[in-house]
Amino acid sequence: MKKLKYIIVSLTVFIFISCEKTLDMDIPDGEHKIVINSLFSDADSSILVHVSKSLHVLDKSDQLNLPGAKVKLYENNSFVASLDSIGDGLFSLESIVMEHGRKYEIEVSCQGLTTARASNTIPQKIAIESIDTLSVTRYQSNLIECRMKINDPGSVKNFYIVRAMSFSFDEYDEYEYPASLISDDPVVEEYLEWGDNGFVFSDELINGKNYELIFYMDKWAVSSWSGNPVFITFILESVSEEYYKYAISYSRHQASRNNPFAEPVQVFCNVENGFGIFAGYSADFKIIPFLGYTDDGIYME
Amino acid sequence: MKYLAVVLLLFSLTGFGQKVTISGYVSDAKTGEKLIGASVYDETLRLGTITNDYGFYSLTVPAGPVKFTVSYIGYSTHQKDLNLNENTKLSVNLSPSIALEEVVIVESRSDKKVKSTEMSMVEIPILEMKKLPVLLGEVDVMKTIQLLPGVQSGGEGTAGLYVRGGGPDQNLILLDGVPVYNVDHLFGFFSVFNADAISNVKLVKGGFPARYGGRLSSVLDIRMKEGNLKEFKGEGSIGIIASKLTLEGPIIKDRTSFIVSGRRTYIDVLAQPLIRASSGGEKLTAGYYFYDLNGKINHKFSEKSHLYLSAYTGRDKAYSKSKYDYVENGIEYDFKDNFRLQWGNITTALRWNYILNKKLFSNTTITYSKYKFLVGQRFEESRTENNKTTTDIFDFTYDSGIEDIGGKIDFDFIPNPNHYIRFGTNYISHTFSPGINTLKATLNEDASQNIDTAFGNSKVYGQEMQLYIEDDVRITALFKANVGLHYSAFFVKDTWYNSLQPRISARYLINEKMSIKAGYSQMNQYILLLANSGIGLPTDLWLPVTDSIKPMNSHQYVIGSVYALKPNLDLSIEGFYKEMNNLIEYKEGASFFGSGSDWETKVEMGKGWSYGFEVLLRKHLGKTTGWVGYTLSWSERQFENISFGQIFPYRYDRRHDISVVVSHQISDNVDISATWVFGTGNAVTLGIEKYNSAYDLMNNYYYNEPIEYFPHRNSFRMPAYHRMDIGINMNKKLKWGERTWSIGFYNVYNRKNPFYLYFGSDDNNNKVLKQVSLFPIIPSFRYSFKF
Repeated sequence: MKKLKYIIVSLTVFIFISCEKTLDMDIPDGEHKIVINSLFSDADSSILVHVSKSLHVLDKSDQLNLPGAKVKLYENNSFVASLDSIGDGLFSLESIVMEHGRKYEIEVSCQGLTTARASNTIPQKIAIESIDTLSVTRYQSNLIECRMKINDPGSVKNFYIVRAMSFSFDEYDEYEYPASLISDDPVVEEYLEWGDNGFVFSDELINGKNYELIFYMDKWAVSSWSGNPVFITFILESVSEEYYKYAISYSRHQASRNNPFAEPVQVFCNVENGFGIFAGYSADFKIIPFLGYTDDGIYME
Repeated sequence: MKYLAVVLLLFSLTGFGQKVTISGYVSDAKTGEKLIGASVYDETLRLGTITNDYGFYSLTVPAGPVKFTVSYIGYSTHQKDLNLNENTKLSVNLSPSIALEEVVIVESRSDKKVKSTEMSMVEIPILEMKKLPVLLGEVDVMKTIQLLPGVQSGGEGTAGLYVRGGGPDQNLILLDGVPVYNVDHLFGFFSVFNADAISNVKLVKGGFPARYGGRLSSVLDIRMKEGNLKEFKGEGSIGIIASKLTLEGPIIKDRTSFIVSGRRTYIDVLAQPLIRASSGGEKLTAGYYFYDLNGKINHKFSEKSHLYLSAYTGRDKAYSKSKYDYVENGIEYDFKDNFRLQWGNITTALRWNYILNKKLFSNTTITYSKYKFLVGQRFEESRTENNKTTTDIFDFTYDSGIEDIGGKIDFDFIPNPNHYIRFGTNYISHTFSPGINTLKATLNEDASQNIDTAFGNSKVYGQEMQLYIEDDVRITALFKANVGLHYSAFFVKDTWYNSLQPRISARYLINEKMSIKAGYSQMNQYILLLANSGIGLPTDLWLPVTDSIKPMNSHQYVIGSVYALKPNLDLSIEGFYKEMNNLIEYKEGASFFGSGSDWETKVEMGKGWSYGFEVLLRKHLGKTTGWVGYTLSWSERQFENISFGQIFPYRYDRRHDISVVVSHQISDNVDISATWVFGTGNAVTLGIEKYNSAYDLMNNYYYNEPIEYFPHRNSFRMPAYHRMDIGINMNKKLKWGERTWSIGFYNVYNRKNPFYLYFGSDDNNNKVLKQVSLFPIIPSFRYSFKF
């Protein structure tokens, strides 16, 4: 009887454990396409474009570069110049003055692949009217509250990215890295998931208004072990709608990647016959020096 | 009320000379159970009706001789010549036919389908359901319903219903008229309905009569048995994972009866020795079980007045209890850890049927329904030193659910054979609990740190009301229509919604064997299920609409034809188009687990539509019964902010869906059955290309993987699903009753059907796409008995 009991137990366990089988499956091979990535600004005196190609999702190679590509830049439908390859898939054109309001178009061709094109404009720069900081305790952490005032123009749709960069130095080196920002401001739509630790928003709720945006910065951004001051650069990027869509969708794409309860998110692309993003932005910034922090958690500006 | 009486009187008098009405109930002669949908017919004048959901009929005919005939599938036909000169009350008891032979009956099941105005409606006799092979030998109403055209399962083994492109929350599942909110046991591998306690199952998926409302896609109306009024009976079974027992009988013969039915799994009991053996020094008990308990009392005050009290309770529970102790430096330490995860339903209906007069039948019901999910953990740490014991306790629970209290009153008014009028009202008070956490900590060392708090989302109250009227009207001998209006209203948090929904379905008789039908129905839905995935997790939350999340609504158009090839062999073909508005999906990148806070900000509203056609060839009686169903359909969704507004296929968009269900009586003692299903693979989102992101240009602080490209959501198809199950039932009559051995094989040719896909690695660490399959070939055994 005891044996029978164990047989039944084993059978039951066998049924449930043997239920899971793993099989390898094929994904049909799609058409490989040219990939164009470029985020350009009127503040730069050059344009940098990264060109590569797409590969099958299961391709073992991480080498997505595209040797032999030809990259041409047009401004307001007129040919400007071909870009020079500078290695690692990057192409650049020096000494170009890019301006707000003009249409820039990129064309990338390569033998064996369909020529890809993309175009975009640089939006008008929106100034940071002011930035104030204050040491606070919030979310059970010591943070720096930042209040950024902006004046959103009412005549056009505007899209923004806010970031902050921390710069410090000691006798050995200089250090620059993005500062973590968090916010519960209602305008904030998405945090950047690409290492910039900024956030994205549109003027949907604040169109044509003077607005004070509130966000918080991690205390580590102003830490200075050397005793030297730390410089925080607050950046307000006015980005094109395509840039905004790319930033949001890319962040969500990355965030949903390993979440079994979230649907995968499609990344926005404005490249015709290809993949990637070709989008313009303009930026304003303000630098605030911090003298570091003490053990009391007091931040001194 | 006065005007209503006048209207009803006028209906009664319309177009007739001296009329008499014959009315009463139709019951099973052996058990006293009421027979739903039995045909009551005057063969001379070819006028007829059917019994309603409570077995009542009323037939008004010209005074004089009639050939009064009552028939019901599987029962011997009752036929009697009557000379009716006055209103007559006549209740009829039909005897079950000895075997399911093709007896000649006046109106067959197929004829009834041809003549009825009802569309997109399927009834499956519970006896037929019990013969079919099933997973682990557990007869399952939901799994059988999934074999019908237009109905799909979400995935391997799950009990969710996806009807004509709708979601699993769009089905109104009623047990004795009470909504059941979670029909899943063990993540949907089994459903909560115990077939031994059920008398009738009806699915409506389109052409909805006005009496139904509150969900967009289907109504699954399940009626419990009433209990044998004649004699004490029992049945039960012992299977691989569960056993069940049903007892029924008269409390007062022919007046009061009861039925009680229970089922419980015993995986936990069987697995306990293994768990103990593997727990080392720890005293561990752990397990999982579910149970169902159905009960009903039926009392007949008089021929006019019947009272029913039915109740259901069921629960799933996973638990673990561990105990661990040791002594160190003369101090005795004792740890106890209790974990529990449980969910379940309670439903109750108190129903009173009263015949107001020979043509007017009333049904008054008070209903209660509750679904509750709870997860909790209690941790105790005791320290004994010098005979002094101190104990620290930490106790956490999270619970969510929904609770309904409702009342409804329905009337059936049958003024003459040309009209069958139903009207009534329904009110439900909903209490939604979107998730409450309770935390208690009792610390001996520092009582000031003790915690006793509750936090989470407060309860939300919603009031739902429905009114309806419909008439099944015979316009000419060939043309009949069911015309109705359904009005519903919902009040939640100072927000008021209401909707007037027209319903119509009509049939035109081409000839005695063939009819064409068409229908339109508008439906509204005020509550929704916030689900993490398609597999029916108990954490899925029922929530009401809000001021920003509007009620879902649908418009469905149906056209079809029924052709009776033989008296009990019919072919029905239906085409449908359904559009759905204000559907809910999670925003891109958002997901939800266990908390209802801010859920409105995490969802998008959009629209969907589905269309297609269904073919059902069905044989109702004879040695061989069953059906072949085929569905060709499309189901799509569109949300402004998902996939950049592109139209994408619904996850359960299934182009082809085939089911073959056959049961054959080899001899009086042996029957065999087989089912085969085929379905186009589910639509899932899966990258097909990869490419660099612009990140490389932005900075180089962190590494991000390449972007995975897919054309739109759900653009990849899983492999097709197909499976065959077979079973054999061997019956034997014994002195004390009857026993049946059932042997079955689920997935007999061991098809590795896809459950989900994911990117993993092979042995060489290369990225590969993998498929996880659940059930391989699974044998099952069941011993059943009846006395």
